[in-house]
Amino acid sequence: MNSSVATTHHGPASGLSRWLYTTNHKDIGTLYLWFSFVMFLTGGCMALLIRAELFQPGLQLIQPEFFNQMTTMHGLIMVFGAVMPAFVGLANWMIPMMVGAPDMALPRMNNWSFWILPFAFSMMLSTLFMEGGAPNFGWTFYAPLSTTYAPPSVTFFIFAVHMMGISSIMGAINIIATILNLRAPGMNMMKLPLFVWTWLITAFLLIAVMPVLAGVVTMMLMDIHFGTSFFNAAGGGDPVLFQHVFWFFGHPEVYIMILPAFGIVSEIIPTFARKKLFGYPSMVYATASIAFLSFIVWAHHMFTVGMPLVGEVFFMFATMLIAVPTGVKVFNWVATMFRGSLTFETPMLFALAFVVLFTIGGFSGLMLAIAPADFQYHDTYFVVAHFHYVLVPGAVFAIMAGAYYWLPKWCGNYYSETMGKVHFWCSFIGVNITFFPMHFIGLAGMPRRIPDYALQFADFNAVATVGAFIFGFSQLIFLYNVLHCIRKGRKASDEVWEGSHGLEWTLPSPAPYHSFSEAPQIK
Amino acid sequence: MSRIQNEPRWIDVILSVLAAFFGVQTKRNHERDSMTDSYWRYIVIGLVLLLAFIAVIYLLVKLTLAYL
Amino acid sequence: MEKLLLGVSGLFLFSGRAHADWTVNLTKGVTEISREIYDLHMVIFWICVVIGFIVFGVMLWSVVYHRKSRGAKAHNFHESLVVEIAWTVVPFIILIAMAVPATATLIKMYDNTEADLDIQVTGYQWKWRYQYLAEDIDFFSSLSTPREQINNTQEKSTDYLLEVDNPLVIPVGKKVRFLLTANDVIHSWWVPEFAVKKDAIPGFINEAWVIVDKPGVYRGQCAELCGKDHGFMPIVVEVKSQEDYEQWLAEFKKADALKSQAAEKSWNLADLMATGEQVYSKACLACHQANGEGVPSIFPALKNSAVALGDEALHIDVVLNGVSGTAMQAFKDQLSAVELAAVITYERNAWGNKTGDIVTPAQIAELKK
Ligand code: HEC
Ligand SMILES: [Cu+2]
Ligand SMILES: [Cu+2]
Repeated sequence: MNSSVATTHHGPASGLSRWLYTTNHKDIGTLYLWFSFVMFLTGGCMALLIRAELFQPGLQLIQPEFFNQMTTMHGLIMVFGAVMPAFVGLANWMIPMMVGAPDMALPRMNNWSFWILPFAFSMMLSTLFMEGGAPNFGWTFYAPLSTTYAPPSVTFFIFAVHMMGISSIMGAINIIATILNLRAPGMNMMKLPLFVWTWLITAFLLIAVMPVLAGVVTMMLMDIHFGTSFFNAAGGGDPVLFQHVFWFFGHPEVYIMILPAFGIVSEIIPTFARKKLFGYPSMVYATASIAFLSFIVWAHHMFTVGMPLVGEVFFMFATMLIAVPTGVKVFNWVATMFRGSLTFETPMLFALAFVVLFTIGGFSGLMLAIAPADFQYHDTYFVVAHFHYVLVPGAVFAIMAGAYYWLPKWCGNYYSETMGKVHFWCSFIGVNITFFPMHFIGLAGMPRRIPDYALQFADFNAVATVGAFIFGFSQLIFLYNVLHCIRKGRKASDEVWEGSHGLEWTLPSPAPYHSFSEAPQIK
Repeated sequence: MSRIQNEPRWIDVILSVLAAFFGVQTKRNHERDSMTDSYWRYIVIGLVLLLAFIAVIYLLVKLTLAYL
Repeated sequence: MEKLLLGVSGLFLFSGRAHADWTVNLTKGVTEISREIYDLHMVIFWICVVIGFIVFGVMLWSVVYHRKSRGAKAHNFHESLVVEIAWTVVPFIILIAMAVPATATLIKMYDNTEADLDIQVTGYQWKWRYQYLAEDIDFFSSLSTPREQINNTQEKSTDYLLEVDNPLVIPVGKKVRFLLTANDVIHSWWVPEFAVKKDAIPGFINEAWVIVDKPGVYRGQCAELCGKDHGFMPIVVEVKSQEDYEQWLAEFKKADALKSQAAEKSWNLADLMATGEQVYSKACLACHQANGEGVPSIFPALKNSAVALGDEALHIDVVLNGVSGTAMQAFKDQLSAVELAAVITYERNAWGNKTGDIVTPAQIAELKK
């Protein structure tokens, strides 16, 4: 994905220093994307290890302690290392090009927000080699399992989370500053592409909730090392407080991971349907309201902690209400396709799969919102199926779709369409074989985060494992396709796609190292 | 698209925020909103209406619990 | 996609008929509440299926008929207030219709009054403790599946990982209230057939209740990640008729009395070591490991440890009262005097810790008073 040497002004520096010192939004976007892909494969290997252990009942490959470390690291790496940086990478590349800006508003800070990440994740991964092992308390790290009962490496985990938080907040500030200040003349808010809108709102969410996450891990740090008792009942603290604070961050966090995906899909579907996005204003307004409302539903993750009845009913109602504007977005995408003129290039395939499979994830979300039923679903594989449906064929498919969609603009060449389609179908089939049966085993009563299970869950677990390997290995096709595209793909035109729309497509392919040094005129 | 000279009235802001909560907005209102130079009114109204929304759900909960 | 959904709904319909062992749906359970929850679950499921059919149907229609290769020309409508309002209001109404029965069920679940029997349930790292508040009954319940089955050297039994040494026993048709708490980390007590899942939180007491219609054996698991052996702390509840329940009560009390008598008998090193090894593998092995070497930085080794080789009184104190703020629990109430004496003796003499010390049951019985 390296942007080729520009013809105007100065080009990129050469060698390693180009990447270390770069303040160019395209370079930094590229760094983010490669970083997230490496993390995606790392977290993926952990997932495959988990699935391999769960292939059959009994303990075969790994011991329970290590299993717990794997589930924890898999979750943390995928959320903070793969999905979030991928979206930031796409934002870095595309937002300046979409709003007609020469670069991000704060380029040096941009460099810093990226370069914090490799350090944060090295620290996090290094815990695997520490005495006592890596964090083993789940990506939700509930106290007191993550405080009083945690392995010593928890301190490194806390600092890694702090660093990721700083990186995200700086990234978010940068994105807001860019969108609000660097728009080309005539690019008013109403003309912003939906990807830019969703990222603007996501950035506000990040600024609002990352400090809450930092707060909760700091409280843990105090409990572990400085004798406080925020979460220790024996010292007058409250373990449930941890969950309230965590999910106050955690629920908006799920929107942080899905709103930019909505944005990407809202770019792609109109292109390949050759038709304007249906209900653009509604999309924008609903996204904003989702952001507000996402702060008042957090306790739907805590229906079984013994909240008072009033709290239980309140969070059930609020959650059901927020489901409406979220779900309605799906209707808009379908309406956009209706009576369009559709073609099915790889980005479109991923976007279509996103719409269907994300909706299935939304359905199970709706079921989970029914509090009494949640008493049966909570902490089972049904929940695992739910959030993997919204995150894998949801967020990850949207990222893949975006990567295929903009790849020709980034490197000037088309990827191989055949390979793209093969990648798509393998991923699509793999994802469903992996996660669909998890609905069944969850309903049948299998709790999540267990290394071994009763015999009645065996068949579907075996199926899920097979699917996971199909899905996992098909990502190598993607890797190959991208490398192939960069090195010897077919030359792409400037518009790239027949139905493309928006400023980024007015630039040459590949986009020059410095674009829009003079602001474009928008009619 | 005609540029509207005067800023949207408060009532328009409130209606827009309500439209956002509902998730549907017309193109005309969106145009008007996006012509404004200050967004703080939208944010303040958004927060106020969020509080109102919380109060409404809370009342609803109280009512349901009283009558069910 | 539609096929997928069809397949799914087909599978759901099948459950309970063709493949009793291929469970794919929620259990109906054996309580009024569990059946209500099942109904809610099915209603919301079918709502989703119907919406899915419509949405994916339209989508499929467009994918098939509005494709460019068929010569479809793009229309250019992109807004319709009426349609948008309609498809926002309809789901809204559906959801309100769902919220009412859901709230009604929730209210019933929260009615913890007028119980016939109160049982305190305490989660410990990887076992449950049941205390019958009105009776003098207090026991621990832990996994009874042998290690060999878990490590695949022995064939797995039908109730693999869902069997315990001492099941909870409750009477049928009576309102039993559970008071849930935990000793160390958060656990969650879940029996799907009762539709009871409540977190057991250290320092707090949660309530849940059940009236079971049918005698039988019901199995569940801990549902909240609670450390290494989270997957190995099942729950088994035997629901008995009132007579059988009373008989069980009487037998339990008799057996308890026998245990305290055993402490008075005199024990030699060989007997204590034999009993001690059993107790060790049941109660201590999960953390301190079979070879006594523990897990570095998490669970200390007992082999060559200063405590196991040093002062007897200190060793006894650690085992009886635990070390507060760590995973080392107090075993005073978990084990009988004989078991405690045996396991301490075992630790002082196993794995080359040859102190030759004998800790007698009588000594411990004295301390337990
Ligand atoms: C849930 C895990 C767990 C179980 C089960 C457990 N222990 Fe421990 N044990 C620990 C931990 C952790 C410590 C270290 C406490 C500390 O930090 O001082 C410990 C410490 C000890 C010590 C002191 C060792 C030393 O050198 O400081 C003894 C003796 C001991 N345990 C005996 C037992 C016996 C006997 C049993 C079974 C009846 C048992 N433990 C069961 C976790 C456990
Ligand atoms: Cu949530
Ligand atoms: Cu547990």
